Amino acid sequence: MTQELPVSSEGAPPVSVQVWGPGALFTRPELKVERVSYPMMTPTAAIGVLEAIFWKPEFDWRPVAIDVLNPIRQFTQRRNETIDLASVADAALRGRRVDTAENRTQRNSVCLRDVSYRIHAHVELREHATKKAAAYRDQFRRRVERGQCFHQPYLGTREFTAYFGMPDDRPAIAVDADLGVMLHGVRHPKKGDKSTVTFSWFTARLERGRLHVPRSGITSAGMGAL
Amino acid sequence: MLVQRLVEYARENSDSAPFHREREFVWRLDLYSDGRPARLTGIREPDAKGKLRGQRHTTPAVTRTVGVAPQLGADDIQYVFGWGDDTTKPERVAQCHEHFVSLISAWAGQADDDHAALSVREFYRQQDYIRWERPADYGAKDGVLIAVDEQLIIKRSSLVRFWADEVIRRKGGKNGGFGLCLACGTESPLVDSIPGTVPKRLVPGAGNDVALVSVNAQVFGYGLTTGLQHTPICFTCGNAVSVALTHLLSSEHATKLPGQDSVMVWWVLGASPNDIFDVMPRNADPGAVSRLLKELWSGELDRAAELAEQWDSQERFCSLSLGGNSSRIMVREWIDMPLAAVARNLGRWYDHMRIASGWHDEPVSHGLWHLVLATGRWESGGDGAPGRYAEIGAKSGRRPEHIQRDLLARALRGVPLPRSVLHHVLRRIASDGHVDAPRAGLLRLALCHPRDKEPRVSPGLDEESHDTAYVYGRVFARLEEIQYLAHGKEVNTTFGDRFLAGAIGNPTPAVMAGRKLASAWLNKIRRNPKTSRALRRLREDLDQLLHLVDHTAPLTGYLPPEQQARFVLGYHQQRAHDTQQRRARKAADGDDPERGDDGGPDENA
Repeated sequence: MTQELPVSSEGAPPVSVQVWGPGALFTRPELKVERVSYPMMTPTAAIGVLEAIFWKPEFDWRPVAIDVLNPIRQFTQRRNETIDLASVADAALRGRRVDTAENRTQRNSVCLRDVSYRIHAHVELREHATKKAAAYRDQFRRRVERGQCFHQPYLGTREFTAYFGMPDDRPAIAVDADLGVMLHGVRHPKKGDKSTVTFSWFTARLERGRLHVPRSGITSAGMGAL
Repeated sequence: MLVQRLVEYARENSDSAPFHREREFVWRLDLYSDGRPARLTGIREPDAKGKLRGQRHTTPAVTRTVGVAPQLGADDIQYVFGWGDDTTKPERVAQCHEHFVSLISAWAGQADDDHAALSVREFYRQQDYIRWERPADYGAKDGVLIAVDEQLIIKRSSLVRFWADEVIRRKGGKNGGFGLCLACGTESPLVDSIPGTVPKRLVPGAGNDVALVSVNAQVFGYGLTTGLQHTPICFTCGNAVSVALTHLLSSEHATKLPGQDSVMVWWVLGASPNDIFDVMPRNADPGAVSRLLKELWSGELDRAAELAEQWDSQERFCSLSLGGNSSRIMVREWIDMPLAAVARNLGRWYDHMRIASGWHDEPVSHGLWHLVLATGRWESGGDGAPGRYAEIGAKSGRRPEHIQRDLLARALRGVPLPRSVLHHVLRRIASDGHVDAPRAGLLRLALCHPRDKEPRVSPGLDEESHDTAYVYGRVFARLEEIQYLAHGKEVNTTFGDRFLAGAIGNPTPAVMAGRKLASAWLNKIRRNPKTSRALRRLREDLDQLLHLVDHTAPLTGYLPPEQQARFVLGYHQQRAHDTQQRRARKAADGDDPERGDDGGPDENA
């Protein structure tokens, strides 16, 4: 049986949005140079989609579940990229440019084809929020209905445009699968904080086509000190 | 899950000590604790072909790139003795040797109860080897083993323990990270770079020894960092990844055809490997294939696959197609599926590939090797000698370098063959003027969708089909037979030689020309008493075939690839059918009464 979706602290069900696209690449951290995608959307990618549609500094998105609506299929592509990098200071002050031809590298990607997901997420208010969560949820729904977004959402990388719309009642694929350790979130240090960026993880499992995202991931204390 | 699966594989299939790797050694340094003098011996021996080869041993080894990094207990001669050659710089060689001696001293300092460690340290303290005469035929990178009292020191347990600590010290990064491992999910010491690599000879396209997990440029890492700072993998799992890959790539489960851009390896978890996968690379064992097909046709494979997919069966099939990119491994294809789903895909692969052949009563299947071979250029033999395909790997073969990968993806993952394969095979058939069972099988595979329970194209002659392209293919074969019967082998350029290449793209002009030419051929058959009895049958067959043409769907202009493939299949299946008929008649009568010894145009075997 599929686990029910958790309600918010106010007892409200999560808002949902359906996203789809011809391709996607949710890069696994262990295979990110010659990229290999997770078999489905990650919570961080879902947050990226939600924030592209509606973002305000008064709240955070917390995805609780992602439904996989299309069978998982993959394809590969190989393309030229560069390993050259010019800092902003170098570029602005010394006129340094990226020399792509001199620093070309080819990278392969194992991507996903013809994907479709239903994202369920809660609005979590920050301390300085002036409205109730329901107001933001309504704004989000209105924006989804109108197809409005701050920038075009994408599926993992910007090359793979995401289209979005109101959720329908299509069932998730009837598949169970272990997906391994998946990125739950990235925490950047606040201004003035000397600690480095930290990651949190969770053990991802697809159950009857639905990935349940725990409220918090496992953060290893030592990893921040690396 | 790829890294996790490799770690699981290494756990189950490798018993080598951590951070060890196999390599070739050509020298052996023997030390004795009883006062006998040390000696250096060459250990090359002739192999099966008579070529001198060193001995292969699994010894402590960790990735070293440009820096000086000694391995413990066995290493290059430049490290063990400080002997360089024309290719090395003396200062660097001296540095290598100094580091090697320091490492030995550090080991002996920690293993003060191990007499072997003390003997080796003593050897380096006395430095007698400086006065030794160097062998005439050594190279700076020749491997040297060290033995004390006839026992290799790489086997000493104190050395193995010390080496593991040494690798953690070297590869743990500046801060010696500790945290959650992405592969095993436990809190462990983390690597800054993967300690082992995979030999480049095992991975096509590799420029150096290669690593699967590597972040060696700023733009590759999160926040413009190099190393595995943001990719937490522990030492055990990091080592297991390269051990598993090396083991798999050296095993019988690796499929690596020359000239292809990737190597495919496979393994099975939670079940014993099914013998059906073993026959993939070369020949399909007819018994195993017919068992698989029987299970497919009874619906057994479909039911098992559906259940396994729905309930996440623990009997899993894993397959990895890899290519090299400088010093990195590219994952070109990664399959992690329930075993039953792969068996179903494989069943459909064989079902959709079966094709009639004039030399067999039943449709035949081909192994991967034969199919790849058939995508190459056909070299016709001169003066009646049989033709053959250009060898796999030969540049003149003009095979796509991804053909092995495309075919394996169709067989195992059950995805349609790329359109490029269909185009390529059609182009080769037109250029070579040669169709045989493997090529026709490839066309059939391209026309049938992997999800089809009922194949869209029959393996043998479909006498009921009204598809215009297919019927034109049959007509073309019949016209070729009529010409052959009229003129025998005394024709410089046959109807097929002249018209086949054009007919594949647009058969209408060829068939119209053939019908005009057929009047003269039939007259000649009528005048020859040896063949005149066949006249009526040939005329009736040709008329019947032309009546099958669906005149409501005429072929106009250049045909799309699917229609071209149908034309070729009609042509091949008609010829295969005719050859079978002739064989049957010969078997019944002892000889063919209609044709004497000629028989008819042979279907290319």
